[in-house]
Amino acid sequence: MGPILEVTDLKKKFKDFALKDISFTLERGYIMGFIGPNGAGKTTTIKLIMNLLKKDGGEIKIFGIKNDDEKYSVDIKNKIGFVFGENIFYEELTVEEMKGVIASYYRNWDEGTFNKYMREFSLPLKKRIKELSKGMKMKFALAIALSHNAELLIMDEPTSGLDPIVRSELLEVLTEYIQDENKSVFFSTHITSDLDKIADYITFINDGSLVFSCSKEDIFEKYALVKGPKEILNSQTKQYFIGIKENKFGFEALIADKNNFKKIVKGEVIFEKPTLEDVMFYFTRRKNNV
Amino acid sequence: MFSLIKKDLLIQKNILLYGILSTLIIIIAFQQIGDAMFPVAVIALTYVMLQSACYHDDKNNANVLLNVLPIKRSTVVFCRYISVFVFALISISYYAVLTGIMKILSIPLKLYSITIEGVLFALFTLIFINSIYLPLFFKMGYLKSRIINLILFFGVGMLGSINEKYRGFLGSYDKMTIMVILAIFAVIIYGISYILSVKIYKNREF
Repeated sequence: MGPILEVTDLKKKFKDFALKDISFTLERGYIMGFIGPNGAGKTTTIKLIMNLLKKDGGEIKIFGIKNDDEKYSVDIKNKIGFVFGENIFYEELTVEEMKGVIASYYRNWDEGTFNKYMREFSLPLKKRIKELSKGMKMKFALAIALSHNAELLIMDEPTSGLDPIVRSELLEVLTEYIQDENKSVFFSTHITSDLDKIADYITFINDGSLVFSCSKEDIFEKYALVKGPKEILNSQTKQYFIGIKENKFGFEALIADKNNFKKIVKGEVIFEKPTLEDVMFYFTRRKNNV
Repeated sequence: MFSLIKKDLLIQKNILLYGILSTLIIIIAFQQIGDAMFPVAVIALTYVMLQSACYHDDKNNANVLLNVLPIKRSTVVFCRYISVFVFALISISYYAVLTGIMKILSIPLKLYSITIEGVLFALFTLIFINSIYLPLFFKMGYLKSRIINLILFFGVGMLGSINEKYRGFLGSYDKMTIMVILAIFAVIIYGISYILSVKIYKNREF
């Protein structure tokens, strides 16, 4: 079986922003985190995947089928669970009414699973959607996304604005979902600590361009956080720097190719494993710093 | 497929009360005007219900929901075109029930009964207005298109009053012939409008 999601040279131009040649691949059975600062193009990419926006170039294949192939659009959407960062439900309807309308369109709707999540999330069926808190709305969206036997879960900033408890609950549900090796999750966020825990792959975009798309292990293998005195900063060492923060005592920097870097520096430098937040921070600010 | 129309009705639960009010106002306002009372009551309530449905489809990213569900865009458009008739049927029922109750209670108001001509006139007017309005709604969304809809609604109202003067002229033709011609015309413009809306909505971005 081929990749569950394949994005190749994806392009989209707006008046003041452009998505440039984004490519990445997600295999079945994995969680891919999609990271980048606000305005990097995450939501645009997800909207292009969902065919809410029309691409200007490139190709998107879901389950091996082009996502804009009209003949298969209903089949593809039947197998996708979608959670959007903002509310997309009719606020005047109750949870139960909204579920009724949505469920009627899914070929494989599973009422038992839906009720299980309703109980697990303590969601009130009779309440109108506009009376739900942000966390409850997200849980409702998640319950819908998980109740029609979707093979691919696509989520756009599901955790933004939520408290840590709700975020942990969401991560637990995702871990459970991914136990089935045929299923995958594509998950955009700027709260990277969520991904430190559960993601297998990270795709990082900044200002509409792809920075990298690789496994989480590869990132920690390749990049390191270095702290040391300013004396070792020279043109040779700086070649390795992605981004740097200096203060009067010394510097802290993210470096690429840590194994080779270790060979050229002598003296008191400390190597640390970066978090995804460190990686994102230094890459985003690289122009200003190096 | 028709869950989308069910959704239109569910979001308008408050229309139950509004429908009574709107129909009553027209009955009272049309005491001196005559048999236009029935079609106008139907057209007005259908107009309000459709506007409310369009408003909710444009609010809160509902368009995003409609387009991530396994529904073809053409189905979304089709349901909106059909919903006009569902709203018209509801409006006719309101008029029937309210005038029925008023007759039973012997309320001293002039009431005009539901006639085939009245139903056809209301439907034709609704088809005419919405054949122009719906493609604009699918192109621009609710907010930008509502002014145009308002102009259409009142424009057709004024045309209707001019039409009164030509009744005599039309009267010289066979009634059946006029109805058949109007029906064919209605099917053609609603059909063309639907095809245009599908084309527009398929290219729309959200």
